[in-house]
Amino acid sequence: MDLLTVNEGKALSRLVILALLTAGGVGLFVFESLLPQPLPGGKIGLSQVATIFALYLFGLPSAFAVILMRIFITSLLMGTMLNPIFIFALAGGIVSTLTMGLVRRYVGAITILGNSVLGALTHNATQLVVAYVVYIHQSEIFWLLPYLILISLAAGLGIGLVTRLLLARYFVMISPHYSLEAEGNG
Amino acid sequence: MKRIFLQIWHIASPADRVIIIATFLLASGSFFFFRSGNDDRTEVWISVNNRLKYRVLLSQDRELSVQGQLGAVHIRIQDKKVWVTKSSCPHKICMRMGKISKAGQMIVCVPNQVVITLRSCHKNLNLDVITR
Repeated sequence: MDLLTVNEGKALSRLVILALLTAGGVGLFVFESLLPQPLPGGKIGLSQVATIFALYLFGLPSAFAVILMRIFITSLLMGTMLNPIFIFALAGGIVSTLTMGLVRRYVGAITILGNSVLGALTHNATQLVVAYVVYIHQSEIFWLLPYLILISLAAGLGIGLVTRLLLARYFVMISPHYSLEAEGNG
Repeated sequence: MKRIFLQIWHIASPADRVIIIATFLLASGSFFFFRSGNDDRTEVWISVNNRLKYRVLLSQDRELSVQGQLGAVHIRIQDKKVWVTKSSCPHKICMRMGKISKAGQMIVCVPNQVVITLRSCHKNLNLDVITR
């Protein structure tokens, strides 16, 4: 058997990491669905850690791969395939990932924290607009907007912080000076 | 909690801080925007036999009468509440359904096929009444 070239090795490690991120996202999503949900739409979006991680590690196409696979797998697991919840998740996921990808690429001043808040905001706003246009034609649902924006702010900051710490940890881990003994002491 | 936020604030770039403050202002702004001036928008929709007959504002007091399947149904709108005062149906269930005041509630008179719903519309109705 031939040895892998450097590029093939990189592609392979990327594939493995994306698969792990998708699995982690699915796990976080299922875990979060077990938590009580006090407000409609008031989810934290824990699984977005995986998407943002992929976005900042590999870029927009990889983030799309992670979010789409995560949505399809979780909708199969939760039994929400092709029903309104699935449509909301798909629309919100696509728009927020696209927004975060473009911001990351073209607005360098915004770091992962602000970008995560923007992602949460666009995710919620998209879901609300889709709900209004497709299912509920009553404008009362926009009364939820203030609460959703506040929740987006808090959740976005939390998710951004977690992803930032995870990314820092990951970069330490793949650095050539990393060793398991050092981790044990840290 | 405060420590976590201070840590976040500390590591955020200036642009991030702008986003955080703007989002907070947006939340409070939209809170006041959606809290004010919604009371006058609720409309009373009265339909007979699945056809819309009246569409009037809840905030204007008035007395209406529609012709149902069995006879007249008298409806009163007063103090932002709607109720049926007199009906030609045998059981008078619609009269006993009481007064409704919130968007989404409804009064139904099945024998007369009269349905009264309260709806909140995002466009302001600048007319006194629409009849069909």
